[in-house]
Amino acid sequence: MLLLTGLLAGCGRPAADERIITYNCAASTSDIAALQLAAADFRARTGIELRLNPFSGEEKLYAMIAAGQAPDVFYTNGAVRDRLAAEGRLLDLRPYAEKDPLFARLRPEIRAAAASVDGGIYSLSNWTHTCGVYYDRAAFAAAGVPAPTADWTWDDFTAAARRLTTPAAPGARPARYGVYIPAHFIEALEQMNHAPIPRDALLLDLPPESREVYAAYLRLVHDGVMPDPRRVQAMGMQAAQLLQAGRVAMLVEAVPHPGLIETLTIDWGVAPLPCFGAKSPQYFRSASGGLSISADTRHPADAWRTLAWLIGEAAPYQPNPVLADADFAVAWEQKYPRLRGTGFREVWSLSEQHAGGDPRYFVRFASWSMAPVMTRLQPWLDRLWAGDATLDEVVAAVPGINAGVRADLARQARSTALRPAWKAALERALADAPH
Amino acid sequence: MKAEHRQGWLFVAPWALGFLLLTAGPMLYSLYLSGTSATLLSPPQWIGLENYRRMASDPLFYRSLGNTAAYAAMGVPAGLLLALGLALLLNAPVCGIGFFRTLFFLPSVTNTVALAVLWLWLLNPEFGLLNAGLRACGVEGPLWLQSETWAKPALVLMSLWTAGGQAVIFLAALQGVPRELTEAAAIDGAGPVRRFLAVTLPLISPALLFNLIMGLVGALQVFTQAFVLTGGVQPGSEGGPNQATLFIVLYIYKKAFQEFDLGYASALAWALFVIIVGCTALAWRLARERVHYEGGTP
Repeated sequence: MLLLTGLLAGCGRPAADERIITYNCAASTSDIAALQLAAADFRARTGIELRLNPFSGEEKLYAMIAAGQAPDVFYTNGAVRDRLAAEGRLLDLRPYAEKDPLFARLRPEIRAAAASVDGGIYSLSNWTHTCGVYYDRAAFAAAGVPAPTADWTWDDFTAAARRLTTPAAPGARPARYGVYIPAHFIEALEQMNHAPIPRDALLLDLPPESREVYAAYLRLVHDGVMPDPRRVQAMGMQAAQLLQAGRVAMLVEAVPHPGLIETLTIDWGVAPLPCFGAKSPQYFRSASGGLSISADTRHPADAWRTLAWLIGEAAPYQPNPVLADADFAVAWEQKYPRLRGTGFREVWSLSEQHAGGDPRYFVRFASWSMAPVMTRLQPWLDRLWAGDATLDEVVAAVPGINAGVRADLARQARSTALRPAWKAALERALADAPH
Repeated sequence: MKAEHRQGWLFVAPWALGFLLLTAGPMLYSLYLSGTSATLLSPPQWIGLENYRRMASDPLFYRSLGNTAAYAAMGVPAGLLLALGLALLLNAPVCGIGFFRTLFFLPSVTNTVALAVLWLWLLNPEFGLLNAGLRACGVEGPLWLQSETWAKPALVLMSLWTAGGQAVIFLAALQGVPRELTEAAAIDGAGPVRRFLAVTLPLISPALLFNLIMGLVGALQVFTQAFVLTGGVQPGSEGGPNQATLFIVLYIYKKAFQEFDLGYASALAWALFVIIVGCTALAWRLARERVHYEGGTP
């Protein structure tokens, strides 16, 4: 049995001299086909064979990492990257990045987002996006509402949403709502309202600017111009389908969004997020997560070469908005001619000119504390959406939430598995965090 | 050792080895892990009873236990009643009864994930069959899985779909009830209800106890449907609205595989084990004197 186990364990493991790099790609048939095609060319040029290992769940990936059998290159989200790096599971990419022209090609904010608290680089973002307001042009025209402009304000936006909402019969829901904003984009609105969101914050903070945004969001639901986010979630529809099916006239979503471009067949346009009063715009720019290399890789240089190729050259992922050396908007419109005249180029250009700061997603909740914070905050948000709690009650719950988060983080800081630099950084951050 | 014994051990060896390597071994290892600060990524460090102390002050542990107890309290009796009702119907001597028995048993051999996806549609507040039926009666249906109030009943409703498995056990027991006893009771003037309560029910009580205990154990370990239907994607959204469906096994999973807190998850798993053993023993003890065994108590 031991012999059999040994034989099975050895199965499929390439010899050390074989230049095979495994990549945990997205489990999409079209992505895999396109990547396989590009990988043949990559192999011809570099001698590296790319083996695709389609993603089949984070838990499986973590188990593979724990067992020392991780793919060489894989995607890590922002909430997990630091945790894996702190326990020595990710390769520090600095020695490779410093010598590779790819790093210089990355947009400055992408390079900044890659840096970790110990100075190392443990992932590089392979995508970035802003967000905007997609709208149904026919609905605007039919309601006599002028198309949104770049300088529109929150008041203009809500007024348009009201006019675009189809009046409901007493006791019934409107056939069409004016707008839908998925709850995870509230942070983009907070940035527009100049809410201070400190980088690497460990504890939850809901400053007055954030509360104003939450209140405005809830008003949209209570006034019946936006569907209840719980109902949308229960319906199991993608947000893009709401716009496509005419259930909403405006939708806040990521820009660019390949899936949305492929879903929408209606006549649509996209506008930048509205400004709050006279406040200058601070458009959301996300660069969460990215590609990492396993610390257990047997071919670190080849793994880096593959990672750099995936971000900078691989045809299925080009044009890539993380690269600064090309006009992404123009190239993206060439790839998707349907985008011309939609306003995409303006939205993208404005987001570059008025970027909202830290491009990491959920920046308020740094990697270390995202799970402890959200585990405690999400039930309050659920109650807030359901009308079972008020915004004041959520705000009043923040100190209790933070006490729990602090206890969780202090426990993590005591772990002997943390590498010293990370342990010190966490202890320092905890000491600096306001009580 | 006699040749007969050797052969006996040889026959049970595959199962015994499988049990030792794949069940008993991991169980003992998890007991060890429960006394450590192991994460999924790092080697364990012994911390004694710290995880158990932490559990005592963990509000989510109590919340998940409460959710699980509520689910079991609703689901187990409802499941038993439905299964018994089905078994009584399927015991009737009507034409094509084999077809109906197969029909009712089929859902219990269907993959739970497939069932969960089916129920996701049935429970859809806009397009689902349930709310369409309620709407036809002039009632606005709830949000089901997105409602703190209705999420647990929705999962209980789904669990009733597989009552056919328990019904088959009841059916076998019903067919073992001697006909002469019910006939004698009928001659003595007992009506159908009286015959059922005084003759049939005591005779099928061992099956009732078996289904009760298995139902209880299954309900305390509910996971798949909660994970598929209300597992959530973002941290904190697991367990449905306001953590209404954060059952204890889902919480163990979240701690072990999403937060990498393997030592604490192992302690939670052992707490659940003790609870299940306790509940089973209690059910056994309470029911023992009420269960009728042909030939006396086992």
